[in-house]
Amino acid sequence: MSELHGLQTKITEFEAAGARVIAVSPDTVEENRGVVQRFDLDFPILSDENLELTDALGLRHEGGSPNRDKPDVPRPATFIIENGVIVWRDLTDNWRIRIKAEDLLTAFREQTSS
Amino acid sequence: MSESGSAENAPQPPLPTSASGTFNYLAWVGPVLAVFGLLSYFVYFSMWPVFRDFPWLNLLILLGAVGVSVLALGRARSSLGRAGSGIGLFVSVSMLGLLCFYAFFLSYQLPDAGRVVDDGTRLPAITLASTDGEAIDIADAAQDKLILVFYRGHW
Repeated sequence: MSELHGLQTKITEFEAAGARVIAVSPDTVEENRGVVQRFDLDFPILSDENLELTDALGLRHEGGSPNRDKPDVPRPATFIIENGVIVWRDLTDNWRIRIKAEDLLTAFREQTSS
Repeated sequence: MSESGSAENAPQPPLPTSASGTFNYLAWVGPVLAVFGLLSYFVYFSMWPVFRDFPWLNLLILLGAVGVSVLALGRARSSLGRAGSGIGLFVSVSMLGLLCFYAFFLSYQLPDAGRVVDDGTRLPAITLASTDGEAIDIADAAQDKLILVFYRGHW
């Protein structure tokens, strides 16, 4: 979740660049609200409890969570989207390490039309 | 590091040792520091990329904990003190091992990236419940310039 905290620290710059930011988690809406409050996020978190969007994008990590009731989670991934289409993606090879907010901002400015 | 041969000639350690029957603080400092060195990564330092991506600060804390534990073992005089210090050293080394296992092996376990959709893929019309209290259709949201971040959930 450290990437959410990082995004929030640069949220005004993302907004100034014209970005809409949405996070997606496998948690319930209630759990996501807890995260929004904890990190004081200005962007929403969507609840993909059934991993519907996760599967549509090929992100399911089987057994990726220690939670035995819900062992499957999305792998960490960040997409930049314009006109309904993915124009850039970052898939880390280590789920501990996520793209830094400043690097994402640079990628966003480069990849999207201004 | 090891100075068992010259221990008799070394200056008196400032901290009490178990030789005089007093408490060997160092035997506790090592494992307590080690537990802090491991837990603080997850609770705090993993929030910040500079400490997260290569966990150098937590590794330093844990190496320090192992060093203190070795020192405590060297100072132990009684068999009880040696046993306690030995357990402390075991705890310190275990915490260091756990962080290394997590950071340099476990967190690399991910499915093949080839399964993930490529650039140029259109976002599907899937509606998900938002923390805003509304439902958001991803295909609609994707008409804006959008940054979509997937994470593994809170746990």
